[in-house]
Amino acid sequence: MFATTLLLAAAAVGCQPGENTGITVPEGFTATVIHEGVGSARHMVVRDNGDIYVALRQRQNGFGIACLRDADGDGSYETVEYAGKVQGTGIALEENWLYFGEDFRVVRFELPDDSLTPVGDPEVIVRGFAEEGQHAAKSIDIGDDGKLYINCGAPANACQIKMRTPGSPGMEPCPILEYAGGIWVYDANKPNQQHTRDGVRYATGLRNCVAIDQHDGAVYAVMHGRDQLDSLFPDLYTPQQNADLPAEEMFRLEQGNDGGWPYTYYDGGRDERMLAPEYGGDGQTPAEKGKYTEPIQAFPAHWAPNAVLIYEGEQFPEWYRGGAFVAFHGSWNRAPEMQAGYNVTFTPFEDGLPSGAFEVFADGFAGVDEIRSPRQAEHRPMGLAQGPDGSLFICDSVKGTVWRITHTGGDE
Amino acid sequence: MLVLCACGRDDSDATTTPSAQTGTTAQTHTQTQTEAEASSASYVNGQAVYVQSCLLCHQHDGGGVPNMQPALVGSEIVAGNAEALIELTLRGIGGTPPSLPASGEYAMVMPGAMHLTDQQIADLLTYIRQEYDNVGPVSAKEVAAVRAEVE
Repeated sequence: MFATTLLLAAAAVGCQPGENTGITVPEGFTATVIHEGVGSARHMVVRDNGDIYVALRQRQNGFGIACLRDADGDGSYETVEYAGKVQGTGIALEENWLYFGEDFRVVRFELPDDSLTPVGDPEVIVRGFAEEGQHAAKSIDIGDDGKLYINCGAPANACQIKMRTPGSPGMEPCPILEYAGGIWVYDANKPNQQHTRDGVRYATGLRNCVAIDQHDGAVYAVMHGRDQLDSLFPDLYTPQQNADLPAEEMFRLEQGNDGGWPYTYYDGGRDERMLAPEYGGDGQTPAEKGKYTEPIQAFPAHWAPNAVLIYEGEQFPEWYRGGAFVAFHGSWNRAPEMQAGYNVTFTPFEDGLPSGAFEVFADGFAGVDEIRSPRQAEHRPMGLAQGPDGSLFICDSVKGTVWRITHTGGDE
Repeated sequence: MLVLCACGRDDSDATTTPSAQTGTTAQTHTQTQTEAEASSASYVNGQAVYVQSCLLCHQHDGGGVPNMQPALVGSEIVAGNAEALIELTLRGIGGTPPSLPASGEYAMVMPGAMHLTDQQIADLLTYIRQEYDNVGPVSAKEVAAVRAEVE
């Protein structure tokens, strides 16, 4: 376990020295609050010039993109302007285009070189997503290949015939997979594409991957595993097992991969893919071998992975380069156990794959030691972004706080 | 027009329900000894149903999860018209029919509880109404009447 250091710079708007908005980061790193109260923050991107764009779940005074600038170069981003009559989760930057993933369409705005804010009306790039509840957040990423990758979460828990109803079997085959429960790829420059007609399903069997990052020929995604094993199948699972199962799976996805949802789930304790109870499983029977893509790392159940970032900078020591940061929004469904997550983890990589276990990189977001309900959490990490100088940015969905993490110490 | 009354114990104003059924007045009545005992048993049994079927989403304190599941505490729906509440509990919200349509305010959907018995639902609603909103019980008879309309 690494030694942790608590450091908080007072340069941010409304933040006083010693104010308890601090988080812990490893020795050699510094966490600074660069902005507070940006709104109901979701995902975030940083431009080459250092400007930051935060997607808001709910519009602030009519606008859903918070545009932040450190105008005087003092390290804190006092300047904030709101733009874009949109709201949602996904956001991505490509040249002079700012892409935004609303729940039921993906749009883009023109972002001129010298402008902090996007200009003009949004141009619809993809529409036609099913307007159903549960897992509607459309995380997006523009890949190295210039294509638009979209998380299409399944409007379901386990594809039961009777949703979230004790004992109900799963639909066979699960019809949701035709239009959701996967990651789709679209042309990033063609307007008015229709889902699913004009896109390609890149990977399937993924319940909801809010956390996606296309990098080096693959899509790294961390999946929200299914809920309610014990309440739906009380004869097969105890409440404790529900708290510990299933794992939140990190995948390295290539075209055609299948993450196994809903027919299977991943048991992190056994390190094995299991047959889901909706499809004849009993908590003991493994899934058919070789049929599904294996996760490259398994995280604790219900932690709620909401962002993943493959570190491409050079500011952080060698250990961190090419590795994966994951922001865990924190659980709501581990009762009667305490809730968990509410942190940012780091996994070292080698040649595009994990080379070791994950470690908790940034912690203390919740502000309390024992969390019975998400309402008690002061902050919930939601978005990750990398700055042009290799700094790591983290944003929070509760208070709209944005942190910058820099490496100030020696090499580890 | 949908109107949800701000309700205390004396929720005698009519409210329109999501299904446009005409609301009946919720009853405030002096409880006899038997009614009080039945109510108390209902509360205890209802708590067990809550723990098994509702606590995961609506949380240990009925406070819900922001943007995902609404709070039951201080809820106009929970404290209001009993028939509307029973219907909502049976049908669920945001799923496929016979689920009621989602409001758009919450990201999650609520499954219907048709698989629970009339007594279980009566006990459950008695528990949450008393525990979280300090209003009167719901009877199995009332649940049966609504179920007959819904199923």
